[in-house]
Amino acid sequence: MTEGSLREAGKNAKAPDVDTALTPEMLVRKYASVVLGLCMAHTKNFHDSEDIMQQVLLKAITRLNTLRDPARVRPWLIRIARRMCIDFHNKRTPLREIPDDLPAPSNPDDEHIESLHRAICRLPEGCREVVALYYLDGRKCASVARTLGISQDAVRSRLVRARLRLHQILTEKDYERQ
Amino acid sequence: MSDNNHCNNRRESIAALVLGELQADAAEELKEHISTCQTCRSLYQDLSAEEQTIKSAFATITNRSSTLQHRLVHQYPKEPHPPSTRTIRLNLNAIVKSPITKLAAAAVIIIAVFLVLHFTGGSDMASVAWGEVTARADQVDFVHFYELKFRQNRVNSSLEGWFSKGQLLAKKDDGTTFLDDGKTETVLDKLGQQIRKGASELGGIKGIKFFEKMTQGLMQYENENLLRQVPSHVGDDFLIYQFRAPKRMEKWVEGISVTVGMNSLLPVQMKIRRKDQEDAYDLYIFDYEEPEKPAAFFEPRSVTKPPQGRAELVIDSEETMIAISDSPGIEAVAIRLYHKYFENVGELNVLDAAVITSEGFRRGILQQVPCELNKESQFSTGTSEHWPDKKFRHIEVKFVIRPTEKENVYLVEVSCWLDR
Repeated sequence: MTEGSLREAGKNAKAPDVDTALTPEMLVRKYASVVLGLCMAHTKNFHDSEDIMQQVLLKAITRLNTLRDPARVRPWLIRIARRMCIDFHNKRTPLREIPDDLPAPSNPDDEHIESLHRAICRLPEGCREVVALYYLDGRKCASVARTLGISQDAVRSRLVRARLRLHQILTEKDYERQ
Repeated sequence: MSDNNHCNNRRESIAALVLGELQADAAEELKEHISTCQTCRSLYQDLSAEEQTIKSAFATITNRSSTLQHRLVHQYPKEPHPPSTRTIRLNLNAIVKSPITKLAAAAVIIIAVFLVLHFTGGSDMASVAWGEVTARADQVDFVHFYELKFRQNRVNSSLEGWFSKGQLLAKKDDGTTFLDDGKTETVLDKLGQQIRKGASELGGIKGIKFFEKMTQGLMQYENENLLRQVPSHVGDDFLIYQFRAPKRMEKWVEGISVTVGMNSLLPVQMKIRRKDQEDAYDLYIFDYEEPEKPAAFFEPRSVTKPPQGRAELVIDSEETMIAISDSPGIEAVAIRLYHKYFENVGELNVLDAAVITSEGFRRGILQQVPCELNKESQFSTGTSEHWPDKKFRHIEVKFVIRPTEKENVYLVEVSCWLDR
């Protein structure tokens, strides 16, 4: 079986989001997950992803009045998020007291998140965003496609390949642990 | 059983099936195959189990994100602000002419910043009520200030002062020194001879009361409308509040404008425009840095400061938010104590800590720091990402963990502050 037989999901999915008057609250509520997904795809530490997500939303809120076409809010946010992730890597200040080779945090939730995040970081570049956005934005290929401005087929095929690769990484890790 | 080649080709379809991204008829067909093929069944089962783990991790992420969202949403007003393009101009001429070069230099720097900065506005700080500033000002325990009296565009008199916990030391440009310990005020001339001694002018006042006193009562909040007043200008890193003179002062005061640091929400400058004389105003410049000069006067009475926050924490329980008082810019410290097994060392009690800033940011600062009981530990981290002005600041955290009578319950005392 090939991609051709994969379900053509989302053909009649909801129309692109058009918010005529986008308030800061709507922006945060509706797009925080999308922004976080993007940040997760471009940072290696989950704390950093959360930090950058906040900064992206903050910047977006303060510049909301410069957004001419509210229908373009997704690509606009994605641009800000990608830019901020790059800036973050360029000028990040390392924590002084925490060594680099720190073991994973031992809060079970944090461990869970961090190990998944590490696995996602090992995916090929183009797949990371797709995976993070898919799971954080309602697990719909249509909305990932809309966010990234690529076709749903492309999303589905990257997702499936990324999912198999993720499986490989996660099982390798289990093996290492034993 | 199928041959391996076929099954290898089915891997992507199995992943699509697990993700719910396979068309119904293809899904049926594949399920049928899975029921008969051990290799494919095993992959399907592994992927399905793993899918639950992934979904639950993302669900946790979503939950955490909604807490952050909530914080962000409540920080901002419902509607975006239109941009403002106003520029403020202050009288630079008067300062350049001033004979007191040192004071003038300080003023020029501040005013130059004003001239350069164009108000971009559009910030959500536009809704910060004056009451928020007075609440912050009420918490300060140290103020260094200049008072410059401008008359006909010249500095007529100037004074530099230090105020701390109800005590004041001030030196006038003519050499007069004022010492007020909260009970008695002593005035000395430039040779150190006592000119006057009397009851304290300040009477041991603290916080906002000091600013009220400095402005001869102008800063006194007499009604709630004043507390609700929002800034008339929002700059890149400061806010300006403008007030009309109260009735009882209308004869000699036109109004007052207060410049407030956006991050600290503390007054950095006050300008009282006067009516009783031509071209007259009183300018106050404040900062909150520890003093170099009057060390003897402000020698701390007790060497150890009380902690800014404390809480009893149960080991291995949820993270606890400890509210931090008296620390501008810092809201709380989130701390979690738990057991952690280290190879070659064994089990230790360790601590994770994150700082919540007044802007609502969360910054992880410590991870798995081994706890030593009754020992004070201090850590710092630097960041420029967590402040609206993007300036680099250090966050310092100091804590002590003390045992309690209850097993697995510890008293955590924590202080946290911004080192600018």
